[in-house]
Amino acid sequence: MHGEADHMDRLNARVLVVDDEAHIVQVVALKLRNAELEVDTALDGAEALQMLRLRPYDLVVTDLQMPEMTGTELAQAMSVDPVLARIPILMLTARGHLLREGEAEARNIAKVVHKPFSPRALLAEVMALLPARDEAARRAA
Amino acid sequence: MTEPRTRSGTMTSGQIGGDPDRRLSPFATPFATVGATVVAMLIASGALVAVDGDIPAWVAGAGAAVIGAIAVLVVTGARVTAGTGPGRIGVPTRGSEAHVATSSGTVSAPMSAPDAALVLRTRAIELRAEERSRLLDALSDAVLLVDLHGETRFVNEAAFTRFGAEACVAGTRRAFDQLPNHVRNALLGLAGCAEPERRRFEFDWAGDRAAPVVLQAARTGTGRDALVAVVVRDVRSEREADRMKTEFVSKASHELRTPLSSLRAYAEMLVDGEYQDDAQRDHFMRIIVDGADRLARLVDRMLDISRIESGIARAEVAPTDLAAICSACVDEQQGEAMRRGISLSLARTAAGGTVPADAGLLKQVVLNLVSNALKYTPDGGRVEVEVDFDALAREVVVSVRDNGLGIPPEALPRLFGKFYRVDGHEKVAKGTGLGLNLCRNIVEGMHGGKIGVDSEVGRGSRFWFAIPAEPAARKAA
Repeated sequence: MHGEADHMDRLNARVLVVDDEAHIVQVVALKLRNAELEVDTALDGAEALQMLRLRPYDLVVTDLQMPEMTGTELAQAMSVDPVLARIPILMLTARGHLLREGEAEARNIAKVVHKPFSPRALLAEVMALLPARDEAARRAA
Repeated sequence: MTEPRTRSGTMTSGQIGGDPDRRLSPFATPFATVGATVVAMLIASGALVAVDGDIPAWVAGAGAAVIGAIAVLVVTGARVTAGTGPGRIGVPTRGSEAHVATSSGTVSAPMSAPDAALVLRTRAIELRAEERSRLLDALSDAVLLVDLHGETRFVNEAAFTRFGAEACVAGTRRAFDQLPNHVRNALLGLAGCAEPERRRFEFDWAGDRAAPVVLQAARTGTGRDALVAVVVRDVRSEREADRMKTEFVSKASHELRTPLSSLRAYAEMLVDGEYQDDAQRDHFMRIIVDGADRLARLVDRMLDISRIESGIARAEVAPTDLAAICSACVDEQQGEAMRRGISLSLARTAAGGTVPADAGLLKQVVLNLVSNALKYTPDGGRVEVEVDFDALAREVVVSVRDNGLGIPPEALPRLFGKFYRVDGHEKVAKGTGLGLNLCRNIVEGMHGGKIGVDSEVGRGSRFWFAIPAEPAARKAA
């Protein structure tokens, strides 16, 4: 099945999950790991940015309102970095209304998912955003 | 030569009529009709009952009565003044009005009967004029009356502040010209009868008296007699209240969504059977229960604050020993302090620590301050509670001192606001962001006391509150 093949393509993709609420980070990481994805976690934008510079990631799932560095600040920092600018961002937030019109597009935020959220629906969004493996391999080359 | 001002109350009848030799009643001019219309418009627009509580409701009722009186006087006024020559009317003193009202026989003898009737009527008219002026001057909204050229015919006291005294000159466009172009054009259109009779504008007043304002205008009369009554209201405080309400709803919804997110996500994981073993399943269930508790606490706090702010909650006041309350709070929190290796003690209790207060509510305040101090003090730190009697200010002061993180100066003014969290403090401890706001409401809103904080980053904080001590309450103790 085509969908099944797509899913297989996306296996082993690496996702960075960023949220200052430890419970949220845990449940998102667990859901994604149960779907065979590789997951790292960070508790704020600054920590996430450091991790992004150490390892390659295929997707970032981030909260908006966080101490030290917010989700939009993280997205901004990523958008001006030639390597990190290619990584799609999924924003998982209770404050989506704080995003100004056009801000998401300008900062490479591919999708906004609102809290409270369904882990099942979040996983579907994550899968849709992950590039197919051959494309990932081409980018890596 | 000074130009005649049209300010209500100070205006003389001669200035209005244009003939200084004739003692005209103000109501013998079109002005009277217009004055009545201004009052009528204010009442209709709700201005009289909504001016920040400046005007009691009875004034609005009085205003309606004044309009009724004016309506009669406008008709009779013309007749009264028609047969009146210069200087012929002796105006009775203010003290004589009771006699005038009950018996025409009290008017001085040399006057003929028609003259006496004229005096009475004129005096009654002047009294009405004065009442109407006082009514308009009592308004906090600026009232301006202009003719079809935009020239000032009348202003109230508040218009002096809004337009500036120098602009409130009769027969000039100085006040009118301060209005924005689009408003001026619309108002002149109103006078020309081509437009609807009432208009409303919202704009930012520019210059020295900058503020968001709402301007309401109504045409009165038609053709060459048309005048436009303009009421300008400063809506800065309303806008600020709106902004704060919106901010509160936004913050509250975020604070509610956060625990709700955990509930929703972990419940679905349980439903989908996505847990490795029984231990993990139990862990998820505990997270759900904790999240529900956090939601309940948050909702309780919001309701407590709302009940206090809306005046529904009442303090059950009785002689209350603050030292005993502090001692009980220290005992209750001792377990948590010991677990964290923090020394928690009641350092000092001065004599006279009894105040008329609601013991349950003040205990909530002390518990909140002590538990905050424990939260933001590192393991092995120190928290001290003190009770002092300030004999000069006649109040009992409770202080909770810690040697914890401290609070940056820029955060201090917002610390007692709703949902405010000091940057970085969320990482150290969870909280509703409403605890200190509730404390302030209890201390200041319900007990007439004061609450505050002194703090230095890295050295610690001292939260304190003071409750007034009444002599009677101290004796009772």
